[in-house]
Amino acid sequence: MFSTKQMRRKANLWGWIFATPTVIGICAFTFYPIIYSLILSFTNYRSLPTDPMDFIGFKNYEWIFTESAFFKGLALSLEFTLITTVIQTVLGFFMAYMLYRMIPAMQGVYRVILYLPNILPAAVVSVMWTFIYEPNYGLLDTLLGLFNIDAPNWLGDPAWKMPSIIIVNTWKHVGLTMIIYFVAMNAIDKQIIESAQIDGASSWGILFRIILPVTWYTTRINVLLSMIGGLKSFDLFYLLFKDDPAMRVVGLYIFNTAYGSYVYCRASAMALLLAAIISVLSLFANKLLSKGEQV
Amino acid sequence: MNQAKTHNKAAVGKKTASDLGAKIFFSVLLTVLTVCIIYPLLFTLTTSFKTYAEFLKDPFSISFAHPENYSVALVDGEIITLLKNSLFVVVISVIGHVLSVCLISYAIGILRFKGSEIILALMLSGMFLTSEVTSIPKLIMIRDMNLLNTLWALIVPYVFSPGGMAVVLMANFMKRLPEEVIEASELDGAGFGHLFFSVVLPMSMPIIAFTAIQHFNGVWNDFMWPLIALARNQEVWTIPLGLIRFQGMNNSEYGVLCAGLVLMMLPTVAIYAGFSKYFLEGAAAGAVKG
Repeated sequence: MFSTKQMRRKANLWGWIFATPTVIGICAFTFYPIIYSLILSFTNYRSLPTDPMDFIGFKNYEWIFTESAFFKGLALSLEFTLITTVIQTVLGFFMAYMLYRMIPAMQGVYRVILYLPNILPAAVVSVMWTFIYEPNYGLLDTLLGLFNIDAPNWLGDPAWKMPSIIIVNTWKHVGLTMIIYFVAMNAIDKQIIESAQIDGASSWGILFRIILPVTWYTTRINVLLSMIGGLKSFDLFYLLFKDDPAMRVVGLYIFNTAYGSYVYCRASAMALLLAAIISVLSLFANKLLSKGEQV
Repeated sequence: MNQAKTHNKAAVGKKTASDLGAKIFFSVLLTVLTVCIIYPLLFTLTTSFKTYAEFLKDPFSISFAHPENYSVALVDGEIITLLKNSLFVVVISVIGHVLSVCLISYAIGILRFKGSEIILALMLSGMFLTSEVTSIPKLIMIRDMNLLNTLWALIVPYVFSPGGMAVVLMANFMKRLPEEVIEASELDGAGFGHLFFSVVLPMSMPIIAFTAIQHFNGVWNDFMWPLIALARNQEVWTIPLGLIRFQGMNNSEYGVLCAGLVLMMLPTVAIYAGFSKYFLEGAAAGAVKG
């Protein structure tokens, strides 16, 4: 294509013209933010155009390590991430297997329904679940009441806050994990499974000896996706718990520092540190999981 | 030989029987799970047609007696205004973003211009940034452009944010278009603009639809950026922000609150129902990026 020298030159020129909006986008929304955040993190800039912006060295970073609640928030985020990642991956795997083995005519509809919560806005999801968790008349309270079980105060009781948000998060996201596994399972050569069945392998045997190892790469992707999503996640926390100090995950703490207390310099330093921590943890998890890979 | 054959046949027969059993077992199990997952949505729908008293009397009954909850939600909750704002943002953002993705994909996939690898690499590296890193500089930029607390504070970043995965998928799609068609147009001496608009774009409709739907969903659902950028002007609030305000107003009017929820879910669910294929393909494509 466009092989003559003249055409090639023309194609290059037009290529750059067509790339203009993207080049603007990359400069404005990738380069500029990284550099600007980095600069801000070494200043004392708060938020208003009139606020001073003086270089103060590593003071913001010192503050993170000595006075801030950054690591408290990070610990909470890690706890949330660990539990959701495990539940979501395991549940998603079994759901995908059920979908894979069910009557084929029904697969299409179920796939569409089970993925539905994933596309709903977090705001809608949180309002709906606040209503379901409502301690007096909520759906869960009423349902458990039918069996004479006293429902806990889901979003109010300190012991139930974390399980409650994990339920909502899993409800919303497990469909994605399932779809990704389902695609991978369908890519497995059917003959491998059929010959195992003829050899008398049970459903469980096929699941754990064939499907689990063959889709291990997908497990890696799913774990990484849930992990990165979990560490970054704070919109559901914000929406369900407003500004409850007991549920202030690291993302929310950064958000509060920036838009609640208007200290942009500290928020920028924490955001960069968090981005670094997330990439290190993902690389580490990726390495760990690739050891389990057999194919 | 003969014996082996019958043995095999029996095994196959046994296999299909147990296979059918397994199929039914898994179908039932997943049906139960699906009901659990979908029930909160149905419960919201039935509650949206009830008065407070009716809800307390029997929360599980199904009736459609009070559709006026919807008009209350639309008027008192100002959902019409919210819808208008969200729609304005979403239409311009999706058109602008998709156009920009099409242009760069054409430049990478068809023109294969010098430098496309660098652009692609830069775009993909940007995907690993957390929103916290970008939001403060973005906010300062929007502030200096005097766009804060207007709908353009949303539209500008939504249009220009690099396409990332969407570009990779679309450029690959365009690379696989039949070369004869493109060469024919080259021999005709038609310009690159003509090639783009009359040849490549019409042939890329499936991937364009996919990109548009993915971007629609991201823009329509976004809560955090509008919260930051529109905080001081409730008149330009979008659906997710308005919903939270609406929740505060209707803490005990469950019927009206649920009607509002249904109204706000409706556009997303309608588009999902019509184009679920593209959503699910998007989910699978997300897996490739890892």
